[in-house]
Order: sequence, then structure tokens, then C-alpha cells
Amino acid sequence: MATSSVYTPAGFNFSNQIRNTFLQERGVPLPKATSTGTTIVGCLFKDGVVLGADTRATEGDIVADKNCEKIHYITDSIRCCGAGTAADTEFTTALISSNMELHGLSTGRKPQVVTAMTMLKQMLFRYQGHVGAALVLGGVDATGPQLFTIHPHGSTDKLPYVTMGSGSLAAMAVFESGWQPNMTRDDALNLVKAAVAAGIFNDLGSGSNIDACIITATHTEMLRNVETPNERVQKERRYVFRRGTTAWKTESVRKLIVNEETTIIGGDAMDTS
Amino acid sequence: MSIMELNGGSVIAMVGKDCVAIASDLRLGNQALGLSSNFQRIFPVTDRIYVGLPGLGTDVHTLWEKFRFRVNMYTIKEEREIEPETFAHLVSSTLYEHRFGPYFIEPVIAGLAKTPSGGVKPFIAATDLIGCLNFAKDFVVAGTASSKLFGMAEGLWEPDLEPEDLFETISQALMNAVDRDAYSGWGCVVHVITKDKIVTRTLKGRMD
Amino acid sequence: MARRYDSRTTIFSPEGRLYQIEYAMEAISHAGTVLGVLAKDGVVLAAEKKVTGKLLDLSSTKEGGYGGSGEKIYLLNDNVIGGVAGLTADANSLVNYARTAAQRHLLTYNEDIPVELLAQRLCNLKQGYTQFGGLRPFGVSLLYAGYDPHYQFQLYHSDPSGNYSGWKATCIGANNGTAQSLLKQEYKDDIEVKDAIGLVLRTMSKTMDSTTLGSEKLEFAVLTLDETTKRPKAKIYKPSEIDALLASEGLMKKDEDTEMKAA
Repeated sequence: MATSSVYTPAGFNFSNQIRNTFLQERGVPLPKATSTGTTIVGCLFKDGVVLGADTRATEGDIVADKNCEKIHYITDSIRCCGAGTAADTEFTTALISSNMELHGLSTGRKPQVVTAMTMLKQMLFRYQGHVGAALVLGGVDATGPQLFTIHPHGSTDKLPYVTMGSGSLAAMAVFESGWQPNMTRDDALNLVKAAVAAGIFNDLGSGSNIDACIITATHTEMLRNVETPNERVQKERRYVFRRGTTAWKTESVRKLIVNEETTIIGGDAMDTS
Repeated sequence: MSIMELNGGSVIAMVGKDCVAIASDLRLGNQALGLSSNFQRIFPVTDRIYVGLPGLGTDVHTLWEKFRFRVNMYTIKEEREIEPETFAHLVSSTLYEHRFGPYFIEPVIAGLAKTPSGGVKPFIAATDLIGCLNFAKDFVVAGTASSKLFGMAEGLWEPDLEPEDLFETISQALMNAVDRDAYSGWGCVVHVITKDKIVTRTLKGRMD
Repeated sequence: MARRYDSRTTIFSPEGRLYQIEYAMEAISHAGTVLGVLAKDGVVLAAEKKVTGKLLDLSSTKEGGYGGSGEKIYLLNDNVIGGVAGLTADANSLVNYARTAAQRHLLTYNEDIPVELLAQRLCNLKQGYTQFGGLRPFGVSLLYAGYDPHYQFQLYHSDPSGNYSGWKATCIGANNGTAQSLLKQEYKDDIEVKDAIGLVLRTMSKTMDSTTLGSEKLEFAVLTLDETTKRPKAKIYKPSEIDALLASEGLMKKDEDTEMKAA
């Protein structure tokens, strides 16, 4: 009785579903959301795990964002790369990150990577693939370095080197020929960079720059734009129009500064007596 | 026919030197039939933030009223104006709430953020229809002419344009893009936001 | 044996009284005074602050925000200012409810909520707490100073029972009887805001327990119409502005230090 009717409960709101299903039944296809065509990879090495990602976001055949971030924060020593529906990877990882923080506070321990993996797979399974997130989860915890892939329907794999997204085949080819057990940090980073680069140059859904993240037991290093192989060169000419080129019909100016005089008496003065 | 093309319309936002601009066409149609040449799809959120809502006409108003509600509640409880980035996240989470039954709108946000030193910092962002944020440093586009706008903006935009130059660049990018889009056009409106004033101009466009 | 009928608001005593409501009203009559005067071209509200002291951190109220200290006077919507007397915690809950109700109205009808309707919304809530089991009434009375295009400027009062009424000038909280008789003597029907401000301040200075009037004991707000936009303009005064206003009305407290130095 006392609660206001405008209170919005947490979770999804299905109020537009009837309308949208009706439209779909009438033969109107539902529009596409931004997706990350994507190459995301991860590999284990001697002291930890390296994650890698490209930075292209696409909407159909259009490049929507040329430098987006696909390596998401989960905890200080766990990160997650996301492919698939961009909004889903963004919000799913943010939700799990928040729940991992709470889990860490209630248990008083550093949360494990399997915990994040289990939370993610349970959520994705619950939504039966409708939350379109394909993830590479990596991190270091009390049990050592861990690396998982999580598919949109909730299945998971635990492997020493993994790839996901539309560029996964190109990237996996690099891993299959170059990965070795107990690599050094630098070798692992170079291999990850080569794998993502293979995706960037051979898969149309992936492109722009390389992001990487190196996680060891003591330190997490986020290397944003560690390689920028597709830098745009300076334009040879300027295309600035002469002022007054565009004719306008009406103009209105809203001034944000209004004149106001305030006489301040007392109030702020410090009592120095 | 996609539902995003039913009513037509496009929005673009660009960053300049200590200023931002946001512009849109003024057409509202029913597929190929034009209905209105004065359909406002850009709304003022605060004195320094504007939001453009291209997409399904009915959702333009529904969503704007939802945003106004949430921004008003934010303002009155926090006792301060919302910052552009906070507003972008408000838009994003509002849209994602409707992940399984979305509003057919792809919002574009343009505003000036306050810096600790008392200056302003240009901010633009766009999201898809389920709230995936895109923070760009140069320009963002959305709507039926988005593919053409991408091309125009990519060619014309350059960093650190003064407000008057930014007005020319965004106007030319928009006008020429919508001329090649059947569902957008019928006049344009351009808002240029600077530290101490907002200049709003309506442009004359082709009526075919 | 009042005790038998005390434990629940929902039970009438044999004399036909609801004791819990009467106790709530009693609590309010000890609260800081809130005073409102309706003028031809606006509404004026003033309130006596009870939580004071030199260790109280008021830095956030001096600049930014809407002005005021957030103890007694709140902006409920673009067109309504609320003044509360009673339990602060209960008041916060009601203020939140009022703000949400106002925004809900804006969402549904695309217009500011009419002032009386907002008062009704809150009174429906308050009445519910006098009837349903296991609840206690809100220990809060409110003054609503508002504007809408239907009845222009208005001033309402609501009490814990859920009653509300419109006023030309009224007062809630401590010494409200004294204040109301003063207002009755001095109120003129065609009073303007500039005179109403003086009336409110003079009445406040006579009703408040302390002899001196200053921003540390006073909150002040005025609702008028903006001349250019013709939209209601709510102004809640900042502490420095209150002091400036008191000085211009000649009601500034005497600065003892300067007097001593002069002597």
C-alpha cells in the first residue's frame, strides 16, 4: 500500500514484448543490436594468463565503434573478454563483477575464477541463449592460473589456450602452431598479439587495435591498445567549410549566463573573535 | 521493411573545441509517405545536455518522457544537475531493462561535462536499441541515414573545430547525408552547445 | 483507561477518539515552527530549524543544491515547495513519496501536478496509516506552497490524520496558536509578496523561542512566477541570502561583538 506505483523492480522489463511479437508476426523483422564480430583469445603461461581482444564493434556491415573495450573487469585478478551481442557482454560481466565483489566481502576471501565461471554459466543457461554473450574468462586465484570459455547457452570449457568470436578460427590457427606449455610472459604476450592480429587482418568482423591483459598471482596489467596497426594517417587536405556556407532559416540563442547580483552579508565570515 | 525505418529520421553529434553539436532532420513519415516536416526528435535534458532519439516515432515520446522522469528524480534527490556521462548510463540501463522487448530507438547524447577546475569538457555518446554504449571522441550517428552519415562525418570531421566551424561541418555532413536517404530530410535542426550559450538553427532542406 | 485503546491506531476509544493520531499531533506541536503566507503574486514559507550547533557541518548547504539545509523546507516539484513539521525521518519518506507522485503525474499527463492533487496524494497515504493494522501514523504535518494554472498560488496544510485544508496564512509546529492569531490580525487580502516576506519574518521573530533571528535558526523560501517564462519559480534561500534578507528587513540579530567593541 505504501509503495509508490512508479517503483521499478530490478531485472528485465517485458512490457513491450506483446507489441514487438505482434510486429514480428506481421512480418516486421526485429532490428539488430550492436554485436562484436570479434576476435577474443586467452592463453596460459608459466606464471599466469594472458587475455587478448580486438577493438571493433559492428552493426551488420557497419563499423559502429573503431576502438571499443572488450576486456571487462570482474575482480582485481579476474578479467573477462566478451564477444556476441555487445550490450549483453557489457551488462552480464558488470552484473557478475558486482556479485563477485559481494561474494568476496561475505566470504572474506579472494573469490575464485571458477566462481565467476559458475555464476556466468548459470545466468546464461537460465536465459537459454537469449542473452548472447560468448566469453573468455581468465584469472589467477588460490588454485593457480585459470582459463575458461563460456558459450551463450551456458556450456563451458577449461583449456590452456582458447579463442572465441568470428575471428576465432584465424586466432586458433596461430595458437595451434605456436603455443607451448610453460611459456614466458613475453612469449605468451607475443603469441596472443599474433593471434588477435590474425583475427584483425583475416576476419572482417574484427579490426582496429589490440588490447591485452596479463594476470599473474601478484599483479594485473591491462595493456589498452598495446598494438595499433591500423592508425589513421593525417588527412592531406582540410575540409572545413567557409563560415556562412550553410544558410539557416531561424536562429534562437539560449544564454546560460544570467545576470544576478547577490549581496552577501555575514554567513560565510569566520568568527575570529 | 524494418521497424526502425517505419518513421524515418536521423541524428548526428560531433565534438568541437570546448563545444559539442547535435543535429537531426525534421521528417516524420509513414514509410514512403511524409507526414510532418517539423518533428522534433532532439530534447534538452539539462542546460548543457541534449539527447536525440531517432527510431520509431511512438517510442521517441515514450522514451523521452521516461528519461525526463528519471532525470527529474535524479536532480531533485541529488540536488544537482546530472552529468552527461551519468545520463548516458541512465539511458543505457533504461534501454537494457527492456532487453527482451526493446524500444526501437538508438539514442545519441551530446553535452558538456564539468571539469574540477571549473571548465567544460565535450561529451558525446550513442547507444544501440538495447543500450550498448559507444563513447566516441569524434562523432556519433544514428537513424535511417546512419550509413551515409558515417561516410560524411568520417570525411569532413576534424579535431578542435570552433563552434562556428563545427556548425558548418555538422550541417553539411547531415544535409548531404539525408539528401541521399529517402526516409530522412525535410529540413534539419542543429544545436551547438558552448560554455555560455546554446545556438539552435533550423536549416532549409529538400522537400522531395 | 486510555491505555486499552492506545496500542492500535485502528481502534476507537469509547469517546470516539483515535489516540495515536492525537499523540502524533501532540508531537508536531513541539516541532520547529513552519509558517506560510499566501500573497497575490506568490507564496512565502519560513521554518524554524531545531537541529543547530556550531559542530554541525553545514558546508554543503552554503553553496550548490537548492539552498536550505534540508531539514524543514524541500522542493517537492517545479511548482510546489513543502515545509515539514514533526519527525524528520517520517518527513523524508513523505517528501520522497511526494516527489515521485509529482513526477508520476508529469509522466502520465505531461503537466505539472496541481497543488491540491499533490496534497490529496499524500493525504491518501497518511489516512491509510490511521486505519490499517499494525501501523503507526506519520508524525508529520506539511505546508504546501504551490502554483498551478487552475487556482494560481495556493497554500495547503495536511496533518497526520490525512485531513487537508487551504489557507491564506497558517502555521504549524510550536507556538502555532500565537502565530495564527498574529497572522489573523495582520493579514490583508491583497497582500503582495514583498509585504508577505516582512509579515512572515516578523511573525517568525515573535513566535520563535530564541530572541535573535539568523540563518542558523531559519529556513526561508518563496514561490513566484518567472516574468519571462510565466512558469513557477521556487527559490529556497541560502544561509547568506537569509542573513541579507533579515538585514534588509531590519530584523538581523544584534552582533554582540561589535556592540561590545563600540562600547
